[in-house]
Amino acid sequence: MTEELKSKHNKNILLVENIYTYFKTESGVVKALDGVSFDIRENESVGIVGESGCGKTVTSRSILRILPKNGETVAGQIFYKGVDLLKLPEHLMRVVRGKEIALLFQDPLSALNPVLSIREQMVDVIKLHRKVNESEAAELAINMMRQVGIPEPEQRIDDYPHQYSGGMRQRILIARALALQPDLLIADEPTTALDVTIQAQVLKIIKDMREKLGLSLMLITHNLGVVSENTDRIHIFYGGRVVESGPTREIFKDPHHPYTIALLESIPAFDRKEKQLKTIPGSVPQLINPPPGCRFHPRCEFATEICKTRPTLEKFSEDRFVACFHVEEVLKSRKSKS
Amino acid sequence: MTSINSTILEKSLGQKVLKILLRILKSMATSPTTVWFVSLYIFGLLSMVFFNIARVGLNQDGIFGGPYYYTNLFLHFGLNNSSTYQSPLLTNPFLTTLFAPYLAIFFGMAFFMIPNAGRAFNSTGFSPQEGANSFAFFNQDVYGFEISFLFPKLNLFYIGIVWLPIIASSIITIYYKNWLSRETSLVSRSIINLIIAYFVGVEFAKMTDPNFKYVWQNFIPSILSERRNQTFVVYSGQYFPLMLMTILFFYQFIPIIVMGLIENGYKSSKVLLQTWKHRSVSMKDITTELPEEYKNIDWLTKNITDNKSVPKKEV
Repeated sequence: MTEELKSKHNKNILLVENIYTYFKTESGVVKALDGVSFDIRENESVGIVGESGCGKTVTSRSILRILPKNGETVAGQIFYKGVDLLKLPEHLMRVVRGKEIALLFQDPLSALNPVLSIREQMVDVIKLHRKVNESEAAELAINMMRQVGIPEPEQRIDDYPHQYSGGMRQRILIARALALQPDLLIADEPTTALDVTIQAQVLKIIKDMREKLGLSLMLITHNLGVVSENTDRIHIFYGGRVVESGPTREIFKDPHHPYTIALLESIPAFDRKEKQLKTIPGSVPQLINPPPGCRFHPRCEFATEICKTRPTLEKFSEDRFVACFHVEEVLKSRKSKS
Repeated sequence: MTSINSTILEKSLGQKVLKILLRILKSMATSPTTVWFVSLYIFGLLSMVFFNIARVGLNQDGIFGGPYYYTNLFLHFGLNNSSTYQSPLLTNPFLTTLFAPYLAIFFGMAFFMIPNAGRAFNSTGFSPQEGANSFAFFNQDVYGFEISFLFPKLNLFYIGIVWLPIIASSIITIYYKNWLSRETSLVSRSIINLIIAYFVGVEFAKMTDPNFKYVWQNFIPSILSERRNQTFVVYSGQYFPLMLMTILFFYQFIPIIVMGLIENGYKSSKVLLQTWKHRSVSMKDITTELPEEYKNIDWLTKNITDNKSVPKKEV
């Protein structure tokens, strides 16, 4: 381990270093993650933001090594509390999954088994990781269900997933994930399948539990409103790469990468003068045959010949990282416009 | 030049129409609904051949006589027993072979549902000998046909001629539609069932009045008149054909329900088996073996040795 990495480990609970995750398909190799690097610090809430298909979910699955059979992380390192998870034997990964890093899935209905009661699904997980008997595990499960706001948990624990509403199912998943008191919670679009009022409730529960348990959060979402309210830092993904990283407030206030700027301009805002929302021209890159160099360059108004070579994620200012050759010009242009 | 262009255009348009028609025909031919009717027919026919061989032995009549025997059996049931009407379903070998499996399933289903129908003692006043002579076809010479499992209607005759083709074709269709990711169409099945129900219903009705006919010019006045005064359907037999069609049509929802039950049963069992398999793998004890290189990692050691029996934080 290099000195630079060692110093990083002192602050980070998770450090993803230059990972490449590929999928073999009939049409060719899909380069879902192409040199992704980012970190999550202790007790910090980090947002992973990007359009559909940019590699957000693949990142979470690469971290926990639960990729589909045709997928593989071919290069890179994923350090969790200083241990490279990609080299960890499978039997030790079982200790990490659930107990150290919990994953909250996007669709709560498909994440729960329809033929098992909530009791069985929660007790199984608790018993596997803790030296507790059936009744102690059930007691713990009921306690967690109460904390996430399930009414009458003593009765409802024997219900099946179809007897719960969408928001309740997501609460069950949160209760199950947090029953083992993990140190890192990966929430993969936890509110996408829910309606707006329930979204707010679920996010509040995650926030409260995070504060109570002091855990780190990796919040994967395409909803910029959700990250703005619930994260300390964000990593912007585009085409399987990180294009910009930094504190949430700063990025929302002063985005540096053309993609981040375009993304933020596509959100409706009361204080904006333009009547029409801006859209990003073109479409998301095909990851089987992506454009050379910067993957955003075919859609970028600042693109030049140099953009056909790959930009690295460079430190721009304190805690701000941008992968763009034209940051200065972008900022100048923004200044002149404003 | 214009005429050449228009010819090319017409040709290409014609070709396009032909292509679309071929695509629709292909889609219909390969649809799960078609597979359902074809497999029902094949299994019904095979079942008839098998049970007819069991009845008369392995000879020409045994192999080829099944469709005629069972069509005759059902068409001459009950009050049709002494009918002399020569139905095309009996006189035309092609129609006999084409309709026999459907007819057996349609009437078999009806007799299965009607109390006291379809077995030797199907009403009061029949002597066992009379019953054996007139209704013995339900167990005639076939070993096991008279054996009732659980209740009289569940004898080998119904199992073999009615339920076996329905269950077998259901399994084939379920497998096919899951493989193709296409659903059977309830509307198409109902329409085809209605057509078959009408045809066999009319033929059954004609057994007691071969002069059945429609008088179309009386259609509208008949709609506005009482049932007894209607002159549109001229029929004086025992089984009113349109009523038969309606009853037979509704009975055909039973095979549709059977298929749904088989499919749901299969899916549920699959999920249960997968769950059992998954649980048996995922609930294996987490090994406490810690390789040498990881022994100095505190959090990992603690997890392995203590198995985290004490919560890290108070919740």
